[in-house]
Amino acid sequence: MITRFMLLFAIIIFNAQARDLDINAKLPGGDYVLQNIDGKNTSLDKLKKANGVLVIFSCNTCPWVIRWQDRYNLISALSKKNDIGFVAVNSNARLHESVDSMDEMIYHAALNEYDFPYVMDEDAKLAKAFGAMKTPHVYLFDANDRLVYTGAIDDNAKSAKRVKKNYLMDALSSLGSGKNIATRKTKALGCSIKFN
Amino acid sequence: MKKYINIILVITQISCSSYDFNVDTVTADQLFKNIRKNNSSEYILINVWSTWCLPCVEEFPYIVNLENQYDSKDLDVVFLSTDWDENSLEVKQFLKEQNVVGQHYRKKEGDDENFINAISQSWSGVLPFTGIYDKNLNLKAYWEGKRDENFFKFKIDSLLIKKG
Repeated sequence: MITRFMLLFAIIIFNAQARDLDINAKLPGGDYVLQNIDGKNTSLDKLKKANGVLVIFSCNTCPWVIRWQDRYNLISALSKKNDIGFVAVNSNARLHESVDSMDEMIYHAALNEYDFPYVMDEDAKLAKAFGAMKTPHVYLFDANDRLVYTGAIDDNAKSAKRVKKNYLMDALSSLGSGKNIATRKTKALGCSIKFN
Repeated sequence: MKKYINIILVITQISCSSYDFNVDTVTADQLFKNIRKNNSSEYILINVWSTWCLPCVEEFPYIVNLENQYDSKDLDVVFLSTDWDENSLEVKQFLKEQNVVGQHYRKKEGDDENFINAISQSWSGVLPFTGIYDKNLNLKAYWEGKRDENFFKFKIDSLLIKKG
């Protein structure tokens, strides 16, 4: 009986983790220190620009990230054009000593010609604050630090050519030009973030 | 070249062996239609997984064990792979290694958002995902991410006790 209660207690504790951010939620963890692949420390507060900031939870090995990342530099360029900061965050704390180490992140970014900050989220603090569960998962905040789009990059991980709905690109353009974002929340399959 | 040799080896292994399971490629609608047609259990546990998903692979044997621990009139276990078409042979090979039996499925490529919402409106899309449905296919319990065998049993037992 005691074991049953302990198990139930453990389940309740496990389920008490932060919920995924809702639309209009305030940017959490803006001041958390994040180490970039250039060796410098940064934070979301430092990375955001006049029209907001885009955060992508990502990693080095997830097959969904691998398929989608041919669009990362296009997203980076569109963010820049719309005066929106852009950062990819690696929160796989359990793998920070192995396949998602800083050295591996630097190599992965070089190999794929990332032209944007790719930061390590130590102990997955930022992912926990966001309630983020998977990679890739995007969160777009406006100039007032309010969440205006969250979810998928687009509707086709396997092929950029076959994309029909460019959710994130459309949201970036709308946010940059002060228009309403048509689709604010989407879902996609992805890899779990490996918390400690 | 090595890649092709590996593919030939996998094909050879598979073609030389018979399965105690079947894997159909389905949309979410087809999945539920098939289950509704063939089900004779009080509850159906659907585990959504993938061969490249480490937590999925780690928890897989716990779920296979459940089939042996519960009467088939109480529980049916259904594995639903989200592997892409190019991994379909690996899916079969993995199921065979895990001594899986019965009818299982692989998600038809595309239309991911509708698929996720049809499985559960509350599912974010992260793998693995497990849902327990009653025989009318109402979702009675679900969870995201890897859990241990005790957790699975606790959830199933809780439903069976409630049912009496």
